[in-house]
Amino acid sequence: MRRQLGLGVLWGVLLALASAPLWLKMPTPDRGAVTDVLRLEGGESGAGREGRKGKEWQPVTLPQARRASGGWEHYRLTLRSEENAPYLFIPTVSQRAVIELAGEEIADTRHRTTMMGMASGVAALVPLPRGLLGPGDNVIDIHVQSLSLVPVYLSTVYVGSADELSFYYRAQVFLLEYLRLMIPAGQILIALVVAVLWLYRPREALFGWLFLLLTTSMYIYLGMMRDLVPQLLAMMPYLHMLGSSAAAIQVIIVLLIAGIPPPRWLKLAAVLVPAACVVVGLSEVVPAPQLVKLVNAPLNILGLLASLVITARASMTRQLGEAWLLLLPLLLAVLAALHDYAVITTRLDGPVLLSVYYRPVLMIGIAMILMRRLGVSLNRLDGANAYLTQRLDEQERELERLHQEERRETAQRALSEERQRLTADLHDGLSGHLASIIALSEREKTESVERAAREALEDLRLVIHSLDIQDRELPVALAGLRERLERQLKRIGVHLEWSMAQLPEIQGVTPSQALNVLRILQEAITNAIKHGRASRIRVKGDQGEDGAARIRVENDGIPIPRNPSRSGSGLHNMRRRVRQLGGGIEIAPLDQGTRLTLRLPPCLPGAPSVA
Amino acid sequence: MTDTPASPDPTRTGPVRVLLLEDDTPLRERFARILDDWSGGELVAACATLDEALALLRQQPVDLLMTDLNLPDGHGIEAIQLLGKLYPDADAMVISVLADDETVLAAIEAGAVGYLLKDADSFELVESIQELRAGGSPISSSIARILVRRMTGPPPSQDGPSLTPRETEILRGIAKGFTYAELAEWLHISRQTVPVHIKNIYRKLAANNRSEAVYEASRRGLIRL
Repeated sequence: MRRQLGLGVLWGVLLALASAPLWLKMPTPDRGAVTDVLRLEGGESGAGREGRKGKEWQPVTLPQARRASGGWEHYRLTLRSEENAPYLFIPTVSQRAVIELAGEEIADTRHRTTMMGMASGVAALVPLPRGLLGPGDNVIDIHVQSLSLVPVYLSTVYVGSADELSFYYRAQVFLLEYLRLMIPAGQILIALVVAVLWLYRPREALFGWLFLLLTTSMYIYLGMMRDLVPQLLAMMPYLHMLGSSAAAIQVIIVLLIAGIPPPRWLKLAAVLVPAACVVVGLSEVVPAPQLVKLVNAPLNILGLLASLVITARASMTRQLGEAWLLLLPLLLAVLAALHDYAVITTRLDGPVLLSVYYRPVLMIGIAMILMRRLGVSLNRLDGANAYLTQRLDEQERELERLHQEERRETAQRALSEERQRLTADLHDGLSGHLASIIALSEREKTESVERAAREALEDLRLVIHSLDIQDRELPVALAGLRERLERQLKRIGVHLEWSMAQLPEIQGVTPSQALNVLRILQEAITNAIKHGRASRIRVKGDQGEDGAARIRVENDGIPIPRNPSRSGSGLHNMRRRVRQLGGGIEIAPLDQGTRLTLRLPPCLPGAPSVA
Repeated sequence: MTDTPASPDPTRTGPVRVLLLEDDTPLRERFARILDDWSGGELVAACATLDEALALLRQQPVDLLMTDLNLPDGHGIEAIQLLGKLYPDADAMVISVLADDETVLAAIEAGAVGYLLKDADSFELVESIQELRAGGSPISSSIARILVRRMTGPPPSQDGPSLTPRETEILRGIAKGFTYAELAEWLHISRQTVPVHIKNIYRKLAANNRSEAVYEASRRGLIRL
């Protein structure tokens, strides 16, 4: 959303700036304007300003535009001495002006700026020497020369003091000279950026072609250096020919942006057409300037038009963002070309040719495409980074989880080994000795010792058995208890009824928690026999009304006193174990006997210290 | 295989000839006294060492071998194996202090079909022998659990008979802690049939097992599940 807004503002500013030459009117001095001048009719020979026979002065009104190109025109204006105007200001003249006062040459714009090729428009601020200014009327002659195709143009001229005119002169100089110099400078900058981009990413063919476009279209600026390298002047037509490869390259770039593979012949044309032109030009079959005018210039326009069509199609039919970015600059470039064509063919006043100015707009479009690609790929990179970071996090978490699991398993294994070692020791040692004691005491008829030894062995079995209990294996622990109880009770003639089939599954079972359950039940049964003198014991596991697991131990012995005066250590231990189990216990007398109810949560709390 | 267990085969009537092998003197004497007092049995000998027992086994037939496993000069399993070789109809019973030990299972795989707890009183002892001779074997939930766990693991190279669905059901039920009565009710069999199924399970275990390997593993303390 924000990006869309930003792009919209950017486009608006660009459009306003780009169309400025079409609507912007430079400010002009408010006084000192001279519009009524004389022009020498009958044609002035291109050779010089002499020989004015058979010619007559015609009054004309400035500005004068749409004149013929390629020759001289002679304008004359009369300045009254009392006007006290020591400066003459010509805002725009095309392409060269020689100014005379009283027949003496006082200025020649060529000394300051040289118009190259299609360049047009120069400003002049000429001081009028006091020595040449006489009383009465003073005659100022302005000889205007068109160097090439550009028609002669002379704007309204002004006379006045330096203070009055210099601001306007500087504005014109900025527009017609400095701004024009900035364009190649900007182009060189962009070319450098693209070159670096291409060097770092040679895979992207577009960068390479952009770099070529930027360099080949710069040849025509080389003329500006002709004062440093005088030979350049003779080479200019050939530079134009080489520069025309930009026409093909531009089409290639537009095709690449539109996602269409550029045809091979187009790539070849980018090299072969300029090369052929140069060869033909050097062999002097056709004069080089003619070649430029007949082949290279039309090719440039053709390339521009083709680019426009391709871009327009791509942006309209396929909604390519980059094509849209390029469409406006191309449109403006075509508009500028049409404008310039109209000026040259004197269909428009001119005199400034716009093509030179619109080249940077195309450059800006290209720069925007580059930056857009950069932005998009950086975004993609961020996305990929975020994805990879996320994946890495996931992997790390997974690794951590596996590590924890591994550690848990190792601990479990160590515990299990320790348990087995302990069991083996108890089995081979202590329990064997207890069995011997039982045998001995039976022989010696020491019943109390025998009973104590039996109890000790049963208790040992209880512990050993519970050591092997794992989670959800409470029924196994209970079965072990039942197997032992069955033997014990059978020996003393107590009937045991046992059912755990209805007991719901309980989680979080550890050996110590299992031992807690077993000891509570064992204690309940021991109490029933010792204190209650029961003859039948019923142990039943099922689900209570609230869905929780419930184990009930009922006996038919003496009911437990409602108000137990002796809350023995047995009962105290039971409650302690129940707390560890996170469950509840109720002991209630029945009509005949006592009932203990043990309630257990679906998941026992974490392993407490060994009971 | 049928679901109906094979009925016991009392080829000979008369007292059960028992060979006792127990190194602990008070225990040996106690069991010997109980067996002497029992009219249904005849104590052939009460040996304290493996060598003694092996020699006796070669000299005269027995119907029941009652043996401890850890002996001063060897392992009770050797006696069980010799018994199985010499007198296929005889039963072997392990004397163990805990009925859920792995070594008991190793003995079962070597051919034992019952076990007796060391603190068993005279009544228990006689009942165990009678049950065994009648074709039924005891099983504790712990042993059943070990067997079930082993069944869920990768099957060892088995060439002997496999357990019937019913036997598997019984084994699983006992491992889960169900009583014989509960199992019998669920499977619509009589309560007395359950131990007979158990004895068949033991026989298949022994048949499926290469005793040498078991003995070796057990001797080296490798068998612990």
